[in-house]
Amino acid sequence: MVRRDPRTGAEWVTLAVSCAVLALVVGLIAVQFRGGRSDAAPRAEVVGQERTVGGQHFVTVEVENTGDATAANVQITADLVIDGETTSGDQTVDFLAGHETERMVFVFDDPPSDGALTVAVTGFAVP
Amino acid sequence: MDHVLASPARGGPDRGPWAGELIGVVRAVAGGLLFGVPLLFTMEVWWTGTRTSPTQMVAVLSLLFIPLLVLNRTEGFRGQRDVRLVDAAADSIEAMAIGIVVAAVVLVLLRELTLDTPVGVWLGKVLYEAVPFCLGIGVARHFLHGGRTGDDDDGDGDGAGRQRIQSGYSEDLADLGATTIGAAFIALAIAPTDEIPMISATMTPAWLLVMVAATLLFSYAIVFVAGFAGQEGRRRQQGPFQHPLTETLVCYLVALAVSLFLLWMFQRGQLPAEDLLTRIIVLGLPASVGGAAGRLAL
Repeated sequence: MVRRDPRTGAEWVTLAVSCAVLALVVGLIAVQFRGGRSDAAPRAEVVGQERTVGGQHFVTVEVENTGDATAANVQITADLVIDGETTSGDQTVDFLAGHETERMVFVFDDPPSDGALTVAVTGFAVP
Repeated sequence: MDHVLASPARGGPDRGPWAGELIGVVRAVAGGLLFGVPLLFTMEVWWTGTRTSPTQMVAVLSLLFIPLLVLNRTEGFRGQRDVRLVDAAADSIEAMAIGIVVAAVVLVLLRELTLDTPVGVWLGKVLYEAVPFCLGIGVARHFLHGGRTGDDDDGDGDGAGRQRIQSGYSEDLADLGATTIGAAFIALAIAPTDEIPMISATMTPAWLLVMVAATLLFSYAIVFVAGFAGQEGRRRQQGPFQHPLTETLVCYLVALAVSLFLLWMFQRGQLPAEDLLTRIIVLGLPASVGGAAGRLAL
C-alpha cells in the first residue's frame, strides 16, 4: 500500500478555506429551500427617458420577474395608440429567473409622448 | 508494505510547504480551466443554471463528490497520489471549492454573473459550470503529464525540456505552431456560436482590460506555474520569445490572431473595428487556454 506524506500546515489551511467555501454554498442553498418559491410573475414597465435617434423614438422597457420561479419565453408587448391608430412591437426573453431583471428597447416611428403607450407581459412558459 | 512516494512532495523538494501548496492550488486551477473553459461558452448551461431548483443543486453537489473521490484516489491535483480514503476525501473537498470559485470568477469575467444577479441564479450557474472545472482539477496531475507513477514538475519536466533543447529545431517556431493548433482546437467550436456576440455585447472597455489581464494570467499559470510536463525545461529554453513573460505575451497575440481568423472564417468578423476587437478578446480567452495546452502537449 502507498501512503502520502502527512498534510502540511499549508494544506490544512487550504482544506479549512475549502470547507468554508462549501459551507457558504450549502448555506445559501439552504436559504433557497427555506424561502419557499412563489410562482413566476414577470412584469414590464417603461423606465428612463425616451430617446430620439435618426427620427426614430427609443423607449426602454424593464421586465422583472417578481416571483421566485423562473419564467421562460416571456413575451413583452408594447402598444402605442395615436389618434386611434395602434402601433405594436413585441419581444421575447428566453429565461427570466426569480427576481431577475432584463432591459429591452422598443422603437417607434412616432413619438410615444404624442399618444398612449402601454407595455405588458402577454405570456410566458413555465419551464 | 507501506512506502512513501519519492515525489517532489507537494510542489518540489526545494520549495517550502506554502510555496508548494500554492503551486498545487495553481495546478488545480489550471487543470480546471483546461477542462472547464469550453462549457463556459454554452448558453444552454447558463439557462439550466437559471432554472435550477435547490434540490437539484444539492444533487449536483453531492453527485460531483463521487467521481472526484475516485479521481483523487488515483490522480488528483497534488504532487502525490491520494491512496488513503481520508486524504482523497479532503482533496475532493478542496477540488470542489476551487472549482466553484474558479467557475464563479470566470462567469463574473464573462459578465454572466453580476451584482444584480439573484443569489439562486448565482448558485445554479456556478454549480453547473463548476462540474467540468472540478473534474479537470481531479485529473490535473495526470493531465498533460504523461504518467501515473511519475512525479510532477521537476521530473518529467526536465526530461521533456532537455529533449526539446537537444532536438535543435526552432523552439520559437514550435511554440507558435503549438499555440496556433491548441488555440484553433478549442476556439474552433466556440467561434461560430452566438455566445461570443452575446458576451461581447455586455463588455465595457475597462472590463476588456480586466479580461486581457486575466487571460494572460491564466496562460502564464498553466504553462509556467502549474508544474505540468516540460515546465522546467521550458524555462531553460533559448530563443527571443522563450522568456516566460515574452512567450506568454507573444502566444497571446497568436491566440488573438487565431480568434480573428476564426471569426472571419465563420463570417462573424464583418463589424466595426471596436466591436470586432471586443469579440476577438472574448474569444481570445478560450483560445489562449487552448494555446497554453497546445504548448504543453505538442
